Amino acid sequence: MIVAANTILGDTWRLAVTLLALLLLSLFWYVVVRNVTPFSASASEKSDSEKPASKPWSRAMPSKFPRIQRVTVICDVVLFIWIVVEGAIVIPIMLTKYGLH
Amino acid sequence: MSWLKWRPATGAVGVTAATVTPAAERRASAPAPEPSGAIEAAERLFARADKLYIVGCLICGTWVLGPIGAAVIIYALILMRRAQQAGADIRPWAITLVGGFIMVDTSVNMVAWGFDLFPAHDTVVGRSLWVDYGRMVDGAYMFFHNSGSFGGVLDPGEKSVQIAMVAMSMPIKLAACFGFLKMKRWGLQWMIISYWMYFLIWMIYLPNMMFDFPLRYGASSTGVIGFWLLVNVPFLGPLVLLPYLHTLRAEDWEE
Repeated sequence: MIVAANTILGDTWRLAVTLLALLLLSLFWYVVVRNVTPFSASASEKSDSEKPASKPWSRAMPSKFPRIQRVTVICDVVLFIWIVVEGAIVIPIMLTKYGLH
Repeated sequence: MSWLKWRPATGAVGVTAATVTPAAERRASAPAPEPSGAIEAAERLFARADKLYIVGCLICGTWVLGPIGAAVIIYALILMRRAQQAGADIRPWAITLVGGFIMVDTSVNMVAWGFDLFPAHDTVVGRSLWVDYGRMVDGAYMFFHNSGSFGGVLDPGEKSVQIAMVAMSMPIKLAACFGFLKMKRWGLQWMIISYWMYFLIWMIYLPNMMFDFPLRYGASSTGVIGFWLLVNVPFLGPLVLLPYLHTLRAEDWEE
């Protein structure tokens, strides 16, 4: 039996099925991705600082490309602010202007 | 802009005075070492803030709960800053910000498009979101919505891209982003792979939309400008972030 849409029960199970499907897809790919490291680091490139450290960032070496990283991270921050602000304001505006269907 | 630099903590080989973290500087210059309990509390605060940050990014990408997600992200960033000030040795801010943007972008593409692909397209929320989006930006979502066998958008090109993104590309990017924020090597490597995948889909998506101009941009109220402002600017992520990801050293990341 399919519960009709536009009812609380009908919409709830459709949303639940959608979220469950997205969760299962994410978990499946997480298991795949987590267990596969596509490229192993070559021995010649291994840094001298690879001694045991409590956190990975504690043994990181300074970047060889600080300028590229600085520019790209600044662009990233702009895009990050853009997408968060957009997400926060556009949907309310859109729903207010065009209404529910 | 010193906060953008990759700054290893003291103790690592090759560390200079200019590359020491503020937290480490504070610890070194402090008259007496901070009690380990305070550091542990700060580390716990950072761990909590990190979880909150990931949840906020995912919520922000749902579209419907965007305003709530934005508030959670800001709160989590404030907590991280407090943890750093309290002496926690936290992840570099650049990684946090890059990972956050990627996670919001991924969530937008996966959850929002998932609402059109899966049965949520029949609900008031799913239908309103996508039909309204069609009226504002992309007319394909306005005409014949939910009239095909798959439901949701009817345009075959759009549907094909949607399936590829929701079923494969975006879940991989989401998993990679999680590993990236945990600074795992597989996270960095899969992030690069998934970003090239994203770039390829972008190259398919844009011509696909252009070929249907009258139905899509031509029929919506904001057209091409609205598409660029709302959709395509975040799509620029691959162009901006691929150089960044390729300049990170995989050897510095945890196995």
